[in-house]
Amino acid sequence: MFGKGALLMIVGFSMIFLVFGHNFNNMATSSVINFDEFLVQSKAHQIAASGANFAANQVFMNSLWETGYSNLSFDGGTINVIISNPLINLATKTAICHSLPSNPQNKYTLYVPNADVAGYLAKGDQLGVCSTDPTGGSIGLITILSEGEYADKNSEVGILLRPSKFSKFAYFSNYEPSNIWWTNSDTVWGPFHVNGYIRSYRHPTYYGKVTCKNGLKYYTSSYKDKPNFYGGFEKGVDLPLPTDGVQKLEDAADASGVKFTGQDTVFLTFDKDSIKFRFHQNDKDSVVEAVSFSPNKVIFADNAVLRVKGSVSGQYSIGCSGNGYGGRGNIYLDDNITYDDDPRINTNSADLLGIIAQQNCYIADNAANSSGDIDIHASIFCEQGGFGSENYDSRPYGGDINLHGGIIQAVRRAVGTFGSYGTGTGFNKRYRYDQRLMLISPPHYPGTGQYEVVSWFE
Amino acid sequence: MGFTTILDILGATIVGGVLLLILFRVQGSSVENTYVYGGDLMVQQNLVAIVELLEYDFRKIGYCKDWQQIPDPSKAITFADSTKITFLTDIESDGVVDVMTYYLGPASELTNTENPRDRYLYRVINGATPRGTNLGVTHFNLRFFDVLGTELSFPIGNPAEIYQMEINISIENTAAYDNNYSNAVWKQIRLAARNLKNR
Repeated sequence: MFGKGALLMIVGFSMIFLVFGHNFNNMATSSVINFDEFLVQSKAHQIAASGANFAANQVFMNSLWETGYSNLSFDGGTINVIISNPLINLATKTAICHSLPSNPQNKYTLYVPNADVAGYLAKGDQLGVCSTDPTGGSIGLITILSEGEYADKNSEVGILLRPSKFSKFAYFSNYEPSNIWWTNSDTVWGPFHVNGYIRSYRHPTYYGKVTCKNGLKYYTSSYKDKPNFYGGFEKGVDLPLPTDGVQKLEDAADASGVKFTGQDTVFLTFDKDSIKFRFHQNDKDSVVEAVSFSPNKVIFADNAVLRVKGSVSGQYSIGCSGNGYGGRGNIYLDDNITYDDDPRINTNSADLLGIIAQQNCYIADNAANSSGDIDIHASIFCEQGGFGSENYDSRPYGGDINLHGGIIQAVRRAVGTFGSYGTGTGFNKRYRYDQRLMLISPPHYPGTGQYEVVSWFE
Repeated sequence: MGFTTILDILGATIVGGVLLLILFRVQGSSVENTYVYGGDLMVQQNLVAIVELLEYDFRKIGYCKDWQQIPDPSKAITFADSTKITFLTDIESDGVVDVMTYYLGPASELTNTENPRDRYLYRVINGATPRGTNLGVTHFNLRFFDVLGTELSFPIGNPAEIYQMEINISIENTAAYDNNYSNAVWKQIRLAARNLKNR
């Protein structure tokens, strides 16, 4: 009797311990599974991000690279990368709407080779531009889709890139003399780049992304002189000015623009709905209707001096070439050159101007510019020279340069002189960035030859 | 019946009593361990759930399917504090900019849980009525660093200075056996939202 009771008791206790033990094991196992699933998903994500970086690097180094990766082994998982580049051979490609497997509501319009369309459709993609694509299936963007797989978990990264234009810069200088310092009186409101050192004195302020090739130099120390970066900073970026930017503008003028040839000087005046031009100071202007004057909105003076002023209505790029002899290749601003619809008042203004000189862009030393401020609305590009003031060290003090746009130049030029008494000759600088240049650029404006990331999904 | 019988009965009573006490003790321990193990599991599951959501959202700071809606993503963070952050993003990848805010509510807000330290972690989209998640968050702390790696002190006058951030989060049970709360901590040392570096 006692033996049976003891036996029953032992069996009973064993059952109890088995049940509780099973439960405890389940909970411990669930904890491990929970951690493992998180680790696996993180790993898949890191692999996808790595694939995206590999592909982006390839595209930056070779803009024609479209191969992508197929089942590339990496860190215990695999990478698959699709490249959509409608900028190359678009006629041989078809638009398809591709959904990300782990995020089906996120769709991308891809331009794939015609021969590959059937394969994409077989995987569930649809023909044509995605109806929900807010970019409208823009053919101006490169798309990189990277899928990482690890232990049956997937993760995707999607990148959009677009060709970069120099016009996006508020300030770009290929060479900054060693006596040029950015000080606490300086504020730059847009992207900024120097192909050298940025010399900093007492905390200059940059609201846009700052890039440079060589790094920062402080006047005294980091503590006293560190800049205020409100848009990011990156060093080691080498972005040379093109040697054929002006040539490409000239080619565009030849194609469907206006090109003046055989002239020493071209006087160009924008008068809202009309454009005036002449070739000698005392000649009468020829007046044409602006809307039909240059179909692709490029106006070019070949091997000449270009003098410009007026009120611009529409989007134009004006340029001139020349080797600098006799001033050829220089653009002179004879008076204010402004937008008819001021974007500082109307942010939807469509007026935009690119001033592209092979040599320099100068504020002319003349009666119109000698008294009071000069207003300039443009993105100024000087391929071999810089933006400055003619006779900056001898002309009388003129006031402020109210520039709304950006300056891209090979070398920094002076606009005036100053001393302990203030500005002595020339002008003060009041440069403000035209924020629209982050999105749009004047027609056929020189490109950097590189791509920039405009969207990164992960 | 003799003396031996009485002894048998006495012995059986004592042994039975001891066994009963053991049984009660086993039961108590089992209940305690069930709560503790279960609490540990729940804390870890809650932590993973929150971390996955945080990583999913924070990686998209400055992201928009229509990139032209946020032309300068470095300005995407509009407010930053040690326990609160507001930024622009595109939750549904539909090209429409959304405003997302994460912030930690006060401990006094959660009165219906035994844990006196747990709080609501709010995730607010486009100014909707805040609804907090009660997953036992006791600590949610953010640190921000500029592009040169220097930690930014609060208040941050210009959030555009933020280049990287550190996220610290602690989670406990909402209730615990004998006030022995399980705790789990997660720290993302340097989270750099890629879109902050664009362009």
